[in-house]
Amino acid sequence: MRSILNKIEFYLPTNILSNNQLAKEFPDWNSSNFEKKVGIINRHIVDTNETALDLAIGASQKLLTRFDKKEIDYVILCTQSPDYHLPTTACILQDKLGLRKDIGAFDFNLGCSGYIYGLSICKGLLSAGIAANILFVVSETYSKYIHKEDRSNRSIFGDGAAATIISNEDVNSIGNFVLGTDGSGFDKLIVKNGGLRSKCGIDNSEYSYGTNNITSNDHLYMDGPEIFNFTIETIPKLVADTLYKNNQSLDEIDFFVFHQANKYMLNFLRKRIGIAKEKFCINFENSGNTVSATIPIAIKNLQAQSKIKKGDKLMLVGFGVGLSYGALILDI
Amino acid sequence: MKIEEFIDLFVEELEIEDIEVTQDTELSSLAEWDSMAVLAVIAIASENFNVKITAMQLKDVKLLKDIINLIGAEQFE
Repeated sequence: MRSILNKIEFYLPTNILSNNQLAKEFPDWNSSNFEKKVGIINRHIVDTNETALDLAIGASQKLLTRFDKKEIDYVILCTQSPDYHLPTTACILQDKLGLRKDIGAFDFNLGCSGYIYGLSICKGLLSAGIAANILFVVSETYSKYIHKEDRSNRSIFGDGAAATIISNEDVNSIGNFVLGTDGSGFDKLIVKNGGLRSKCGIDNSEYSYGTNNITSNDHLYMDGPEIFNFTIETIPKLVADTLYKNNQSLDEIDFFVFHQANKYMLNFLRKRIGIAKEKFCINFENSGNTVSATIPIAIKNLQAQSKIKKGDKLMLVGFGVGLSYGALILDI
Repeated sequence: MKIEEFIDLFVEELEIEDIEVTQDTELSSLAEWDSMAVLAVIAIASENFNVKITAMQLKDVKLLKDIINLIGAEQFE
C-alpha cells in the first residue's frame, strides 16, 4: 500500500518576498524580532497575472508525474481566492490537467481549516463508493487581497498550493474527525467587499489598525488578537476531543502538525496542551502562512527532513477564518 | 501574584531591556509594544490568571496599570 506521504506535492510561486525586502519598505519594522517570534523569513508571492488556478496546476502536475491521471475520478479544490466568481476553479483544473470528463469536480471555500475539511469530504466520498481516486488541491493567493501598506498581513501570508491524491486504499488510515464552527467570528478575518453583499469600491476608504497597518474593506483584514483568543479557547479542547474520539493518548501521536500560522501562537498552544517540542511541527519559515496549504507543505518538509516516516501517526489540526476548525488523526 | 511579579513577567515576555518599567509606564513609549506584544499580554492573562482579554479592550489601554486593571486588581496580592 502506498502511503499518503508519497501522494502529496506542493508548488510555490517563483517570486520571493524576504524580510530584508519588507524591512526596506517599512523602515520602522523590527524584522529580526519578527523572524524570531513569528518564525517566517521568506514568503512566495504570485505575479499579477498568476492565480490560484496556476498554482493548483503547478502542484497537481508535479504529483501526476508519478500517478496515472486516468485513474483520477474526482477533483476537489479548496480556495478563497478563486479565478472567477463562477465557474468553480476545479472544472477548469479538470480541463487544464487533461483529466477524464466522467469525473466530479467542485471548489469549496475555507481557509486555514481547509485541508482538514477536504480530507473529511474525501473520506466520505471514498467510503460511500462515489469516488476511488480523488485529486484534492488547496491553493491560495491571499497576497492579492492584502493592502500594500498592511505590513502585518504582508509579513505573515504567502501564496502557495498543495495537491494530494486520496484513494480507496487510504480510507482506513484517515481516522475520526472532530470539526467545529463559530460563525459569530466571521468578521475577525475577512475581505468585506467583492462579494454580492458589498461590492468593491463602495465604502472602501482606508483605515489603520494594529501597529500602523493600512487596509480597507476591499482588502484583507485580520484581528490577530481575537484570532489568538479563539485558538486559546478552542484548540486545546479540539486536540483532547480528537484524541478521545480516536481512542488515543497524547503520547501515542508521533507528530503534531497544526496549521502553520505564527510560531509564538503555536508554541503557546503546544505548551498549554503539553506536547513535547520534538513532536511538534514549526516549519514555515520559507513559505509563510499559506492558509489551507500550510499543513500539506509542512508534512512534505517534515518528510524531507526525515522527521516523520511511513507508519507514523500524525495529528493534523486546522483553524482560522470562518471561524472554522477541525482535526483528525492520520496514519501515514 | 504580586504586581511586581507581573511587571517582571511582562518585561521578560516582551524582552524589554535597559528601561525601568512601572505601573505608570506608557505602553506606546516602549519600542517592544507591538502586535506580538499584544499577543504576549493575552497569553500572560490567560496562562497566569485564566482571564480573557479582548482586542477591543486592548485598544483603550495606555499605561501598564490599565492592563493590570483589565486582568482585575483583585487577582493581585
